[in-house]
Amino acid sequence: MTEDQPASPAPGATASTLLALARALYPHDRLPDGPYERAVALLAADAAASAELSALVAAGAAEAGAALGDPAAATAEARTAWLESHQGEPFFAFVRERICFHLYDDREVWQLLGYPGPSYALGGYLHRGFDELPWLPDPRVVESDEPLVELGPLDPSVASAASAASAASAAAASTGAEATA
Amino acid sequence: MRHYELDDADVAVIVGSGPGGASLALRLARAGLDVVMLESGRWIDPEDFVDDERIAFAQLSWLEARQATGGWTLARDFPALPAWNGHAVGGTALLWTGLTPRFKDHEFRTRSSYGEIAGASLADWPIDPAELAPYYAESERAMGVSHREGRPPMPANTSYRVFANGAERVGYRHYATGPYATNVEPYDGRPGTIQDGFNSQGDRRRSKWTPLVSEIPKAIATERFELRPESHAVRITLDAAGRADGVEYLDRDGVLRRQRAALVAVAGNAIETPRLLLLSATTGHERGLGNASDHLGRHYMRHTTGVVYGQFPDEVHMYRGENMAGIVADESRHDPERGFAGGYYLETISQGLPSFTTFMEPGGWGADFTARVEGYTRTAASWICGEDLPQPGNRVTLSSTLVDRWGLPAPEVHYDDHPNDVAMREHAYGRVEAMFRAVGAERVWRAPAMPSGHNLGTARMSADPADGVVDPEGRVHGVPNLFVSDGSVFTTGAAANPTLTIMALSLRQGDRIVDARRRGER
Ligand SMILES: Cc1cc2nc3c(=O)[nH]c(=O)nc-3n(C[C@H](O)[C@H](O)[C@H](O)COP(=O)(O)OP(=O)(O)OC[C@H]3O[C@@H](n4cnc5c(N)ncnc54)[C@H](O)[C@@H]3O)c2cc1C
Repeated sequence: MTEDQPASPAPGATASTLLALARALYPHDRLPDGPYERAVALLAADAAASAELSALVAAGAAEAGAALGDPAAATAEARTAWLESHQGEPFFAFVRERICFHLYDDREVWQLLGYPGPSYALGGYLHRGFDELPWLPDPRVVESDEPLVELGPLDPSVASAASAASAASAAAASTGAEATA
Repeated sequence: MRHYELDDADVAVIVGSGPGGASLALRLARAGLDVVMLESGRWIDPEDFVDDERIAFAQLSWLEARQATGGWTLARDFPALPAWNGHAVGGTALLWTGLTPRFKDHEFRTRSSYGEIAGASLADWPIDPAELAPYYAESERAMGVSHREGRPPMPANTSYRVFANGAERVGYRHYATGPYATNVEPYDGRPGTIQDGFNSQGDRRRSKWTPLVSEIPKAIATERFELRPESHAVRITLDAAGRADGVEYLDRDGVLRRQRAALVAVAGNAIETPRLLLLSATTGHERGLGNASDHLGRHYMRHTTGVVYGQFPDEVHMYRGENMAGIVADESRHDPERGFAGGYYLETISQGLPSFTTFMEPGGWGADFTARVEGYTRTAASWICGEDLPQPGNRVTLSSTLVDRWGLPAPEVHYDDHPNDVAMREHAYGRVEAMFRAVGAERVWRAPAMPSGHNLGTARMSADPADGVVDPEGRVHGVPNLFVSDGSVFTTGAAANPTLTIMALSLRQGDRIVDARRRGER
């Protein structure tokens, strides 16, 4: 959605609670409040489409507000902990999905994260770096002349290079330095 | 455009304007048959395509009620969207990216090649691969597939550079930018790509092959073809002799019409095709057309899939250029030493920020999620496309609770992974991780399936009517002038992306229909 997209705002207390939750769901230090506010307004507009959803959002926001005191003043840890303890509930599911959907569809967010959007009017990337990757060598683009093994194991030299790489990768993964989703 | 009357009984009626239906239509119309095509979706001019993932999704996708059930991750992540299909003239090809590997010969004979596998309904295709070879070549020509018959290869975009270097470093040999069904240079009256991305948003430039910019206008030019968009087929009718004699459909105003027909071909893709055959149940075919032996809707396949993302210290800018112009074939072999039957391809995939955040960890949130989002421009990704095993319990049925906008029972798509699918996916995840790490990934992670773009097997082909729904020409067992012309007929799915094979089968089917007519058979 564009920045000047009108959207129906949620009533004050609900909106400020949702804003605090939106930031806790998708925390980006680099993002100002604007994109989160727009995502919350669009969420509220989505909820307004059905009485059931409106009630769900109002009740969930009230519960979060009560639990967190002033949600805007609550610590990030407190907000995250509240969200964690409410995962799997309809309010959480709706708010998480809608915030993710709207926040990352916001042009200001695209700009800050480096996603340029459409390129057609600019002539695509044919002369603007579709092939620019200076940190690796130029790879072959055409198919290999070597016969493709269709049945049975690979040539042993290929297989050993491949399994060595797999083992190295597994070792790197098991250092625990990284989480996998 | 030619117009046919509803009571014109001598027309071939084709349901669906995707690659399967459109290829058949052009074949028949050029051979002098009269063809009426019913397409549920609208006609959208390429100029009206929108290079915005969210807007285009709403514009082009099949968004009618559906339900995913079973153990697959889609039932959890996207329960209302088991498959991503197109709903406009041109079908799912409006969304497709364009990789076109052929099947390997042994993939037409999986029961013989893989042996008996518990729980799987493997069977050999009842056709000779050699017979399909010329149709493969013709399909590649029709689509203008890159690096075939003197056409240039697709150049390397940024995603491919990461992917191919990774492949090389783990010892793979068979990486390339195609075969890929988008023009590198002008071909067949359409321009070369400007590497603008947005393949799955229709492709405004028309460099990507789709029936909308190729078969459909060519068929219209024969003056033997009428396209009726916004015409949703709801029932195939049979005459007293048990032959198809018409198709009932709802027009754009919701008015029920009936086009009489000399023959009917259904190409609605592997969820809608069995639904229409089930909805057409009638006296003598109480369980649906072609369902005497209870195979209709069963053996649903969607490829063993998943995505691996790699994040690098340096910029990648995956959104630049063609979205899937990279493939590794080394693992597409059948090599039981890996612990599973069948093979898989690894393919590049690029996503805009909205899709990236939707699919890279469905349901994800929190600081770890946003850290990965912050690395978007330093990310590359690979999509796994492997053969999944047919299972009778994986099936499309009519929902007893959900209805679509036309008031018809919605399709329920049930799928459980076979242990072979799980083992293959694990292997493939590990191999992509190794590739990305070999070129310096700081972080790699796995994501589950996106809604299925490949949908296969629900009207399987068999020589014996006891074993499937259609015969080796795609003719429905028990209804001699009713055909299926899409991936529903796949006896097994192979590792290859399916569309080239769908087109080759349609062209072959078209020739068989024309030959039979010339011999005076009806
Ligand atoms: C994102 C994405 C990427 C893909 N990339 C590739 C790729 O790289 N390589 C590859 O080989 N494949 C790819 N595919 C798959 C490819 O798009 C399909 O295999 C192909 O479009 C199937 O052709 P089809 O004619 O069988 O069905 P479709 O193209 O789905 O066409 C079916 C048509 O029938 C219409 N229809 C359905 N029911 C009715 C009815 N009752 N009445 C009237 N009309 C009806 C639909 O509206 C639709 O237009 C991709 C798919 C997606 C989603």
